[in-house]
Amino acid sequence: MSGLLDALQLEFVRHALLAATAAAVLCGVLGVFVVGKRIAFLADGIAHAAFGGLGLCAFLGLDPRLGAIGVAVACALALGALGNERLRSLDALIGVLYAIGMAAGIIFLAKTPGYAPNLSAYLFGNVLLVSRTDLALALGTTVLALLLLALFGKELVATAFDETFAFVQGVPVGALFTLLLLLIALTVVVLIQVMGVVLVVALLTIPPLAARALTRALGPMLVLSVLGGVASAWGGLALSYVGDLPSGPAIVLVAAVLFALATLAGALGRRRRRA
Amino acid sequence: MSEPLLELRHVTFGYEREPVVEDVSLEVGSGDFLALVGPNGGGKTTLLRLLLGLLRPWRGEVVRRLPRSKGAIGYVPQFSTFDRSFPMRVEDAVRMGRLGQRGLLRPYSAEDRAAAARQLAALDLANLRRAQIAELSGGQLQRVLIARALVGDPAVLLLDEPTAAVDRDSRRLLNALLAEVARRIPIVVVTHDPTAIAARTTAVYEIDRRLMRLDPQTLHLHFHPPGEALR
Repeated sequence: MSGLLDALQLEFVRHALLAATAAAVLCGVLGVFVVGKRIAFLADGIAHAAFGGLGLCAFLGLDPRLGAIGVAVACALALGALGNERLRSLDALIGVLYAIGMAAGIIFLAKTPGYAPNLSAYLFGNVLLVSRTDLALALGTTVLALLLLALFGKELVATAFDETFAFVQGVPVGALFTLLLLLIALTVVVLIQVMGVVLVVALLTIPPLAARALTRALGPMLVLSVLGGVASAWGGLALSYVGDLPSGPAIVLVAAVLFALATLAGALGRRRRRA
Repeated sequence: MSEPLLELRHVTFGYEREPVVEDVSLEVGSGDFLALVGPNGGGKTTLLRLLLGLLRPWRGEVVRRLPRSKGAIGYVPQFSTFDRSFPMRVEDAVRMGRLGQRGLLRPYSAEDRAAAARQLAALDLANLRRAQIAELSGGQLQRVLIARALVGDPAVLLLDEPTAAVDRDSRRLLNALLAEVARRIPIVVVTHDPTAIAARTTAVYEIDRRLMRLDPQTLHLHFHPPGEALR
């Protein structure tokens, strides 16, 4: 325990913790919509496509984050233009996007001149790499997302529940869907650092699903989802530090345990209510 | 006779290459209570979606003469088009029907809450106010969707198979409710079973790519196989 507290003296550990916390808050909130609208596969597709952009920029000697953001945002705009309804019948296309992004990223990184960037750091996350810029990106995205969710909350909820009805009521369903995808795109870039490309979708899905096992009401679900995400991030980072494990898988492991506990508690709660 | 609120003029539309509805003309105006019947895939829902503006016709024209640009059409979708397991309380779902009035960047007001409460009471749902959507029976959920469609004070009401997933008692209740609403605003209802509602409607149309007005006298022959009609 004292080892963990000592670790907090180190700047990069504090950065890692802050970035992971921001990412967890972001995912806890956005994840409720990702799960509600059943678009986890889109988030995953955007993440893997972004990896291609990341690799390209590393290869060209530019900031890899620029490539990741550029491609993620471009994907969000393109997918948003297609619209949620059409995308559901185009799931194979997302698979193609996923595969090309991944392949391009790995090839570019393999051919990047100079020191070889650590591939597994991008794939599975490495919080040791969280810089000041990364932290600013994480915190900025979190603030932006929370602000937009507060502004368009009632429309986003209505759209997530019943897109057609929201459209009939004059809600700009298409624009809001693109907005949601753009927030997911930024979140994905933040998450690559903490979770790695492969595990990006974990924090967007596991905490909201765990929350859903415990409550059926939206407000408590958002709160529980955020708390579950933050607990997973902190627990995972501690596990990662103590056990010298990659941060992404460690966070997923903790989230999975929380999910199992939540599912069990939810089932017991329902049985007790029925009895 | 005032001008119709909604009008399809020689509308043709399809999703792929083949048209699903072809050269369809229909007027919905004051006093109308129209039932829309037809085989699966015949274009019933497509016609409704054209009226709603969810689809743009290949050819022809959809004319809307509504009192406001947003929220003037009350819409009751099929259960299959939304997520029944979504975390949503009954009163919050009904309040969605006020989105058109409220507009972007303005939170729901006390007036919206009051309107939702009134509408729930009117449809005998007040005690389910705080229940989750997922906990409702088919008939209850259907009434919630109708409350949601009516709470925004629409000028016309469109319903997609409102009695498909409910038991017989609920069906009778819903049909009576629709007849009541039809005295105030025009209604278009897509239905599998027009015989139950035929007596209350002003016209029954069949759509099977093309639209045809059915004679109320022969309706029962049309919708029951001959063997059954004899019984």
